[in-house]
Amino acid sequence: MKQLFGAGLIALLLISIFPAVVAVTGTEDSQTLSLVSSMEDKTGKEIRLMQLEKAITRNIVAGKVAIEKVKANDIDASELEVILTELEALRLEVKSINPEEEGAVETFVNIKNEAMELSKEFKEIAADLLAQDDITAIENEVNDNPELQEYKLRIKEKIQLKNKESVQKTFDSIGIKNEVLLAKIKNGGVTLAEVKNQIEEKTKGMTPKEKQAALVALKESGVKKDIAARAKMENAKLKVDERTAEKSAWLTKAAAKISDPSKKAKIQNLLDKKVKDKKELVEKEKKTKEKLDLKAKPKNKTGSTK
Amino acid sequence: MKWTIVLVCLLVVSSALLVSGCTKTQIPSKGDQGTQTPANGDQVDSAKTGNDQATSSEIADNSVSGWVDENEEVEIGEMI
Repeated sequence: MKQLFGAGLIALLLISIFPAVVAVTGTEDSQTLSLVSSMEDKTGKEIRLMQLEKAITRNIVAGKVAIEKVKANDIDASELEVILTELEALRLEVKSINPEEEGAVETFVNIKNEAMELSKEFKEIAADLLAQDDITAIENEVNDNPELQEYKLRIKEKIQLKNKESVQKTFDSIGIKNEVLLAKIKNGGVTLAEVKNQIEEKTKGMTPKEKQAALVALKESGVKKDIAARAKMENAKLKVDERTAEKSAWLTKAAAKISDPSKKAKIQNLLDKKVKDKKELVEKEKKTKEKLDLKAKPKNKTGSTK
Repeated sequence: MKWTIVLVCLLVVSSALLVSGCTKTQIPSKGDQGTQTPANGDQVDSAKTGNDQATSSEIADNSVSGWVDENEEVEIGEMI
């Protein structure tokens, strides 16, 4: 009876963990979905790609200082250097993406997920190797970095352009004209609340029928946008396995940027080993899944004949 | 027998927790349908035609759905 009770407790534990896992995955997905929703046009894609490039660059800047600090304490930082090279490969790949090319959004989603995994991996290793002073020095380095400041300005300009284009598109669809407001949005001289107020004022002159038609058109466009974003997210999942060859090519390019020949050879070896280990793990998981599918098939057949 | 009753009770409680954890209870935010406060100029229209009628406020909210916040970032997590 005690054994049964123990098994029951384990089952309860698993059941309790499940909603938490679902909730975390759901939050990450909804963040990415929100980002993907705004990648409906060229400017939207440019913004998100530039923001991803900035986020990866920020982590590379922080990672470089962290490695210096670790090395200063006579600790081997090879594992961290490998992760940094992988992040560098992702940055090179993001930079190379043509926003107008098919599959740009899917690649964005996959690179974002891979960058998240690598950053987490780096953090876990570095956590035990850095002191509080080191962390403060790294944060200062990131805050003062001129490259990151430049990204910030470029992204801000693009966002203002995107907001102007987005509001203009809406104005066109519901028949509003307001060039002054559009110019203000492009120059960043207006808040979202002000834009909404202006639209409210402009639409008050509409008849109830016109208002209804405008609202239906806007909602339809919103739903279409949401469906398109979800489809891109699903496509991205299907393309994860296809990225192996591409990733390998970008890793080689990133490793080639290391100037010290002995360090380059060491990192390249470690990278090859990591890629090989990952490949073996994926193959193993695939085989286990196939075995489980095979076991499940006869049951399905019996089910279908009923 | 005692253990079985305890186990069944625990299973019932955890099932209830599972259902409540997986069900999203969404609190309507400003901009969602059903939470609109019509602007002054819209009150006459709404009163005349019932709750189905679109308001300027609703149109304004839906007009800016593509607005990108300048402070929004692509989050990939910190390195340290």
